[in-house]
Amino acid sequence: MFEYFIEIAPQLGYGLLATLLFTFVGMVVGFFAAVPLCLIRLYGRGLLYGIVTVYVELVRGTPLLIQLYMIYYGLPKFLLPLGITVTPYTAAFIGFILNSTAYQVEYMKGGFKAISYEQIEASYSLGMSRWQTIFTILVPQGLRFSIPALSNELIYLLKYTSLGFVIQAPELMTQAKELASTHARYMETYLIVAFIYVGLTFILSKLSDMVDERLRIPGFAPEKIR
Amino acid sequence: MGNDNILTVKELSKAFGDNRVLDKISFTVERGEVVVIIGPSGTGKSTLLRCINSLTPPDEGRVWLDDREITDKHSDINRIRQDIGFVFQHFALFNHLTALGNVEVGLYKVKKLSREAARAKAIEELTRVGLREHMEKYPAELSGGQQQRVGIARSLAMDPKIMMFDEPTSALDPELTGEVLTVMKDLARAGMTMVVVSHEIGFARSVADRIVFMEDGHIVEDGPPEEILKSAKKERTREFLHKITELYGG
Amino acid sequence: MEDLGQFILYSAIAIGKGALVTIVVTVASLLLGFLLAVPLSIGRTYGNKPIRFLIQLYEGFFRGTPHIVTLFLFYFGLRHVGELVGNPAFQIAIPPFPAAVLALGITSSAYQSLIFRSSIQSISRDQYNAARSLGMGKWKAIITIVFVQALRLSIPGLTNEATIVLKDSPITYLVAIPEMLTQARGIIDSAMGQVFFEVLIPVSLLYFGLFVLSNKLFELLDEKLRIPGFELERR
Repeated sequence: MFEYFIEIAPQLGYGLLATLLFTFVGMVVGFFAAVPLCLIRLYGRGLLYGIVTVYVELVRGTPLLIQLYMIYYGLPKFLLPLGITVTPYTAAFIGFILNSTAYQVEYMKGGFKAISYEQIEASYSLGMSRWQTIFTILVPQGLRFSIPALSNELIYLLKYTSLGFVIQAPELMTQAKELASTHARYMETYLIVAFIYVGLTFILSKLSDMVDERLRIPGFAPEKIR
Repeated sequence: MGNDNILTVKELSKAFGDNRVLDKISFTVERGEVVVIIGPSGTGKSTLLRCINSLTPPDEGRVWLDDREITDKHSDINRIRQDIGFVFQHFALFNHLTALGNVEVGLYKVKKLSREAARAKAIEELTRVGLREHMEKYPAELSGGQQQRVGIARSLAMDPKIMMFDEPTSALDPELTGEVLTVMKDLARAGMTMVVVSHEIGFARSVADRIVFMEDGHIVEDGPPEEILKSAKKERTREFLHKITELYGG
Repeated sequence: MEDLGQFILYSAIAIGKGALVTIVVTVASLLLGFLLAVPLSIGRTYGNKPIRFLIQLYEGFFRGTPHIVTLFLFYFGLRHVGELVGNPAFQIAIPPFPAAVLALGITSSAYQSLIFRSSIQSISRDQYNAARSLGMGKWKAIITIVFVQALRLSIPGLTNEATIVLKDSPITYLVAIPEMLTQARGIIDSAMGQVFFEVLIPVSLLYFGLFVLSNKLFELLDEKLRIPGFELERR
């Protein structure tokens, strides 16, 4: 099995890079998109609030697979006439970003809700304005409280990039399927790939524990499940 | 207003749904007075304080600080709030800032002091409440009594004209109430105008200029401590005081 | 016009059948996950070192692997498991439906195990001690006193897990399970690509509807089983 692994390693490596790329782009862009959307969701009103809510609820309530499907096979119907082609890469990025943003909005919301209302009152009674309160008091705490949930999201996203397979995005899973059928060695290929994912998950998990340690507000340790 | 009233409350009303929490409350507070408000739980005492600085905007009524009307839509509410100190039952410290950070933040964010000036003033206030050695600690690392003292320092740093306390010791273990009450007593003796919602009858007896008894959204009785505590005019006042001295030992 | 009407009718029926299959696959997988997770979570909390280690490996593997990989392992991989043991003719051929339920179910069991474990740990050790001091045996105490309460606390986590399995179910189209996505693709193909969003948007909304329904059902369950004054603190 080992020689086989060496043989397929380059192609797997290529897939792995794509997987990591999708994961990190999805996560980072999702993060920056989620912060303002989350603030709207928490403190906004009217049309803007409505749009964000509908977006978040729909994306979280429907399968990622269907979302990717619609983007890759459906979007060209609108864009092809305009001369824009939708490559698997593009569709994958769009799909993962839209999906991760929605989930991150919810996780951040949870983090922000953990801040006692009294602190908001205290901030106002010192004379701080709405925006000052949001950026000086709420955001620094809310984001820190969201870290455990967000690192969970990172790990989930890593695994869900495997759905890129469905739209022929050249990530790890796609490579696996191709290699398996080319070499007719299914069990080995999928097992190897499974272990790669497990390894990645483990590394990411340890990394996010470290980040959580460093950024944690003293006195607010989340309970670890042993 | 032509007199020495620093706080004037006129016909303040607030309802939450069907529940009439405040019913046309009117009273005044003179400069340097210490007013202690007592009454059964849930009778709107906290709401009253929050309506005064508009944390909870009242439904009806008007409030003046000196001659500035807080309830006027055109007033700069943020500016007025700087002159009203508010101390919360559960301390409401900003958890991501140290004790020093908590006291500083209002100074450089709201009063626009330089960071150095803010820091110096903050250290001064923390020393005043006896917490200088703990100033680099985070709220979670401080005891309840220490947290509340930081809360008081934070409000004092803004040089307010009046300080309001919403049950400042109710969330504290009995051994810790002493340190907070001491700070409050010192403040009173230094001449600060204070409105305190509390069960601490001992505090009221030693420091208050007036005791106000509130029930069901009304002010039932209002007078100097000797009068209220020894010979209250209204039956309900005497009933309440009786219950409370049994519980808290007066 | 008539053709269109007929087309819509047949499509609706197909999607309806697909929805049923989706529900069956989801429920079956959740049940399998549940049945496996109960002993797993108890074993991981109260078992001895070797058992805990093995369960940890199990959890680590199935939580760390995407379910699409697990699915392929069970469906394609096992068919060729002979290649591992040097006998190519040896295969464990699992039909699509069991393979799908196994893959989704075992993956879910790894997550459900985590949910139960965290609930078990929330129940104070004193409960266990009290039960033992009444003379209850170790396992009886664990199951009848601790786990029953843990189950109650796990409902929010299970609500979430149920929607996750529901949203994972479409991958089974890859092994030809006639659930909603498969049906949708069939309709799109038969209409020669004339319809796309017209099919997928209703399907998406159906998934969303099932998602909402699932949450509602668990909410009702939560209400019915509420122990007054005993709530898990939710962040």
